[in-house]
Amino acid sequence: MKKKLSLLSVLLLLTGCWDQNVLNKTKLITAGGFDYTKDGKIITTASVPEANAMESGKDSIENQIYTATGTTVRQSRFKLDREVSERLDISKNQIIILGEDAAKEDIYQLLDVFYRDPKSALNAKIAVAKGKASDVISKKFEETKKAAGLGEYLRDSILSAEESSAVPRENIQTVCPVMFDPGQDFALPYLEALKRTIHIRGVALFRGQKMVGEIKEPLSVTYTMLTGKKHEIAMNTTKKIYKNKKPARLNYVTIKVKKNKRSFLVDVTPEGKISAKIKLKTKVTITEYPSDNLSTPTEVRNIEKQLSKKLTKDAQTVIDKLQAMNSDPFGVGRQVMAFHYPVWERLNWEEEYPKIDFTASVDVEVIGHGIIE
Amino acid sequence: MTFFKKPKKLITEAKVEHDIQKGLNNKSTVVQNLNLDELLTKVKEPFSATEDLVTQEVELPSDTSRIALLYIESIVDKQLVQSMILDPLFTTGKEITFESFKKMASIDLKQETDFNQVPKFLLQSNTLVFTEDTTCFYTVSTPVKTQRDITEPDNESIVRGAHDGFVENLSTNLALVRKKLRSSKLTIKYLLLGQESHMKLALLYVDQIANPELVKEVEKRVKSIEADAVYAPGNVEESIEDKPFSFFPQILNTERPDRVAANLMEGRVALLYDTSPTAHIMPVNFFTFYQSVDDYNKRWHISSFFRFIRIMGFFIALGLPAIYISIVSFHYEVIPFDLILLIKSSLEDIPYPPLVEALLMELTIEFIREASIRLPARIGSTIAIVGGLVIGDAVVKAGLVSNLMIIVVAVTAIAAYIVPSNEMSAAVRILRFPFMVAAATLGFLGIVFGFLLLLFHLCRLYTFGSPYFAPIAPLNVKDLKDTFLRAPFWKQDTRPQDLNTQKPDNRNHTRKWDKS
Repeated sequence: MKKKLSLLSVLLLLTGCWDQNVLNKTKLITAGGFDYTKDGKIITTASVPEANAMESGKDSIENQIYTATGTTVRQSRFKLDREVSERLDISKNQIIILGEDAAKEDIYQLLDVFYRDPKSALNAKIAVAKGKASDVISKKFEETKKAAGLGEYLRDSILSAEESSAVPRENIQTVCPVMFDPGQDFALPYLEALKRTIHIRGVALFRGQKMVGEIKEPLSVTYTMLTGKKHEIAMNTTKKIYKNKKPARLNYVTIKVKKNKRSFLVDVTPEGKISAKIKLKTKVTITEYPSDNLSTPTEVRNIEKQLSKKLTKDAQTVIDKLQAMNSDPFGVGRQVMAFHYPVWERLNWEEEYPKIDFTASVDVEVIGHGIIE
Repeated sequence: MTFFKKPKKLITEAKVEHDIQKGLNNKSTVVQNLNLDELLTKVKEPFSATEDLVTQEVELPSDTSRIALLYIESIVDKQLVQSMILDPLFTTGKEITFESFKKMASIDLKQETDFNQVPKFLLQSNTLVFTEDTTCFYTVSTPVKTQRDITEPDNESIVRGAHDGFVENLSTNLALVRKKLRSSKLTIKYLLLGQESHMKLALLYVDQIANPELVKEVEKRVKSIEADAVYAPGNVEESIEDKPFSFFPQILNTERPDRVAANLMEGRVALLYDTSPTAHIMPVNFFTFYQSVDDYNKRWHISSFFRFIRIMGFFIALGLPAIYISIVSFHYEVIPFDLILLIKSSLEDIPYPPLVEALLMELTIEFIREASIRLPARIGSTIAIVGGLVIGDAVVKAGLVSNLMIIVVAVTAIAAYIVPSNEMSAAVRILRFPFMVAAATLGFLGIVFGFLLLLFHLCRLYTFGSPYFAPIAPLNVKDLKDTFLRAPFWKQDTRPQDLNTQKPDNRNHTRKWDKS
């Protein structure tokens, strides 16, 4: 008994603290970005917030930006580690930014490290930056000068865009399986660094593991609607439904999507001709309509009709763009693969997809018009 | 060489014993031949030259024969001696026979002939009356009343329910239990412990409910105690508990008669002590220590909620510092992002590793606790100020310990005192330290190991033949009614099954009016 006890305590005590990973002896990366140099090396940019404890419980955060170059991501991170005093840690990373040029290459090569390290933050957001990633991971933004860490600021910007459906909800974990799916592609938020703020440009579309194009902001709401997302906190959009009213603001109506029901039909004729159709049944409330007269049923019906027409047109524009880019984020290919496998086997999907008959229709129903009559 | 020889004992203990026995025996045989003076010298022989052994010789006015009173004045109420023996004797003043004496003194009078018993009677606060008739003597119980009032025990105070508590007097304590449990089946057995100290204790159980094996086992263990002196209930507890090396208390200490009564009716056995307000209840299981009398006087939802809080308190008191240590030094990725910078900034300039930091504060709390028990109440408030303000605030300002550590330690300390039983609370506070060491060496894995070992131990522990972790291991769904939850009275219709009582059904048939 005594022997066992002493053995046990020796086991516990002799291990000491060699594998400890103490919080106050690490530097946490909260945002990371990747760019390529001209000769194909990887530039990693990382933002490390330094929190200074101050009196009365208010902390001030100072963002520090480090960069390092390496042949691979891991190598560049090792070099980064040399630059800073304590050990760098990626486990609380909030966002990964891919520079535009980097995104147009194979992005899996950049993300591979994240899928191998069990400590890496797989729920970090991932986004594409117009220009270079190092433009976005910078100290110039107004909000980061006060209290927010850079990673937090970028993450929250994307989150708020997600909530208004301007961009789809994606993170490192969710893009991984889609990246390897030949029948489906994905889209990421597309950021642009303005002088003092960050701007959500829209969505960046991918084919396979490479970026192939973008859909800009107002239209990107239609894109997320077409993915069949259940309604977000504020899926908002302003649409022009008349042409010649004066002043111009009377031409517009702003709606908030309350319910969004999608039916997605992929059909293959015996001859092997593929057609796809997305039908949206959308229930909306009107949050702004300067022309008013919403109390008359005919006016409401008129708006419904106009909106349906306008949204169907927008949806068709989105789909045409997608087909032109040869990006398939709605997963038409996956449907074909699943339900018409012999056809799929015969096809070269990359060649076939731009040619298929892909249409969309949106049916809008107004279910509310605010609190005034 | 003679220096190294072991000195011979002058008289061996057995021989002394024998001599006394012989002397006393001689007396009873040759007792007729002794006169009163000789008899008194003989019976006083076993006592050393103690000066509180008083012999009072009285010559009655109407009678020429002498009588002598023998008592130990420190444990005898002299007024009682006066009023119960001397006054009646002087008023009637006849020759003393048992009958005449009995008429006068009326209560608590016994005629004894066994002179061997004299020391025992004297030590039990009796006054002995010797007459010229040296074949017998009389004993009158004249105990001195050095008893405090019946008050609520400070260490087990409650909000609702009876506010009486045991005192340092066995007969009062038994009266308190009897009052709660006026049953003809309540059985009391007196036992004397300590060859010299003669501590009296009472073994209580309810006949036809308590398992006779259990009663026999408890009696056997108590009787097996051999010691010159047994001073405190703690001595008995340590002598009869199953696993003295376990951290967990295996016998419930209480000062509440209602708690004793309720446990007796569940089929347990209680030990009550003269000279101590503490009663012992056995066998108990882990969850008994998380019950409070208060629970049964609140509505059941509320007391169930508090039960839940107490069990939560157990885990917090045991694990929170360990979890803090392992998070900060191994697994900080589990901290939510919005919190991590805050925590990091408060930790940034702490010079010590988290384990040292935690030990420092935990020990400080224990210091404060121990100091505040010893100090008189007036100085106690000083400790509160020193402990609360100086240590809490200054330590953080000085940068020795982080803000968060203070919070963790404070929450842990509060959680440890949620346990209604002081003994269990102490056990939890001690066990916290190995957990902290395990967390500092292996992180969450260490904590898991710690809890595993703890669970092994709890599952293996048996007290007086019943499993310590009872309704959980072995699992008994029916008995869970009084553990995590406190089921309403009308649902508590069986006695705990792990006690193997003679009557598992406790005949709780209430709310019959509600059935129709």
